[in-house]
Amino acid sequence: MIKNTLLIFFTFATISFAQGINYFSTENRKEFGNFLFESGDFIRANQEYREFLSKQENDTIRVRYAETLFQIERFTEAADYFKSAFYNSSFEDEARLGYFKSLFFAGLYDDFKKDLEINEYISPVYKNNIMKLNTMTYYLEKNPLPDSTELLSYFEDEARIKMSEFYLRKDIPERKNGTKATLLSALIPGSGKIYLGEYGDGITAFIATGLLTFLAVDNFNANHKLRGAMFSGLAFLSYVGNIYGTALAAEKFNIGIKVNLDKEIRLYFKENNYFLPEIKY
Amino acid sequence: MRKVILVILLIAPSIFAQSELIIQKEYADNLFNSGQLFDAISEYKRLQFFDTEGKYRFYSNMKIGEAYKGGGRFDDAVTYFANAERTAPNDSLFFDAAVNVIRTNILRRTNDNAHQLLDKLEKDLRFNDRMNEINYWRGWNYIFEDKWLIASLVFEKIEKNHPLALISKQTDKNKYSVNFAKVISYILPGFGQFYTGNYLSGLMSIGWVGLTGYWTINSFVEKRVFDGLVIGNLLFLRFYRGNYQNAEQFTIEKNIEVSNKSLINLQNNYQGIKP
Repeated sequence: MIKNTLLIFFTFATISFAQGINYFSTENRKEFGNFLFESGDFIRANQEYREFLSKQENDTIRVRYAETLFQIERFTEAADYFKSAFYNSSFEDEARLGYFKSLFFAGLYDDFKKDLEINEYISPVYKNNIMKLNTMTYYLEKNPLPDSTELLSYFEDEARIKMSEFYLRKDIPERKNGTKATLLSALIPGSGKIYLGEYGDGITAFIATGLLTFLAVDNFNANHKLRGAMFSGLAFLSYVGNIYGTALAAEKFNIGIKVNLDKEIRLYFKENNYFLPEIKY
Repeated sequence: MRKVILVILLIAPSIFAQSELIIQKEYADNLFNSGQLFDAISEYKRLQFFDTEGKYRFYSNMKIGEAYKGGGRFDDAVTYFANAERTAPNDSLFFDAAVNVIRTNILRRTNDNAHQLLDKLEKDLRFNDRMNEINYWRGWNYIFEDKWLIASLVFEKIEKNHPLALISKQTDKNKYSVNFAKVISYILPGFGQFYTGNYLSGLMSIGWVGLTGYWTINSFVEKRVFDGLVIGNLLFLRFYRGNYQNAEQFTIEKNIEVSNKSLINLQNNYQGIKP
């Protein structure tokens, strides 16, 4: 009796096991996708989840799939998938944050602001993070900044101080007057560069132009006309070159202020992970 | 009879599982062999994931490493070869995995790492009989460090007339001496440039150094000492320094050309194993 029972049990077990080993089954794809997701191989996890979702619905996998799209920088698709998990999902709040972060990284700032006006899109859990992202869009745009009161209200302590500093530097950049710098260099060689803060260049230009002029005069006095003419030419080139160089340096300085500030802001955001929380789906 | 059937039924699940793994391995191998490296990595990872007994762990780690290496993802390749080292079932396979880590380090130009790993293998008594292989990859590491003469000496340890020893020696011979170019330019301005075949630049150096040198001396002769000091410092020394710096720069550039030519030759024509 026992032998018969065991025989039947193992027969069924074997048949069901033989049929069950399918590494590409929906469930196995999910498991394998999760393994890839956890190990940071988002591009392959994305493939597994896509196959899984084509057969079966699962809200966790849906947001995970959206997250893989985000991680492989397919931000607009990520936004669409996060949006599809806005309702009837256990990750509604996370999906809303994911949606806004995807729009942010896609650089779709106009869409970001437009959707921010739809109240039901904003997760109460992650409202602060979404509003911080919103503030960051203003810092990364070329447009003038709006009033700082509301803009900075979502940041606390050190972050608020840093954001205020960036606000001031972006709002009132410390530009230098190019015309003034050029005129200064025309009057006293090198002084325009000193005005721009390039002290080494300014002093070098002053000494070089002065010495070449002296050499030109001295060689003419010693009756070396060819050498006098050559040094005159060099002195003239040095003088004109310095004026032209000052005009360019002023332009570069003003562009540099903007570019460097932009780089600094981006670096600060990146170092702080864009003030985004770590989410476990 | 019933006992036999029972035994068969008991071991059948394990056989089925193994055969599925074999099919998966073959599928991954086919992708790998047909050059579909991205998909091959996916399938080897799948094999690894479902291989709960770890039968193919070493094999899949090695294959994933090779596929990543083939795709130029050297950091990932090193990670998987290192995993293979950890999961190697015997010393010989451990050595193979370690050599792959070294080869990838050579390719990604982390040559110090490669040397350290080679030192470690050299000191390991288990691999005393594989010293030729260690020397072979050390030689390659020196080649990628642009130390052709040392590379030739290392290859000679394997065999006096090892083809790579001959190529390395010839490459070293073809290279220009940076010190000679500089010294000759100190003594005879412009000659360092002539040495590297940059005749126009050499003539320009002779002209400028000669002219400004003459002006400097002439100023002192005419007792215009300040003129002499200014011209000497600002012009003569500028051209004199430029002359030997130029010679040094040309030599370095020429040597890069020589090295690259040899590397391209090795890549296209050398039949042995390459990093």
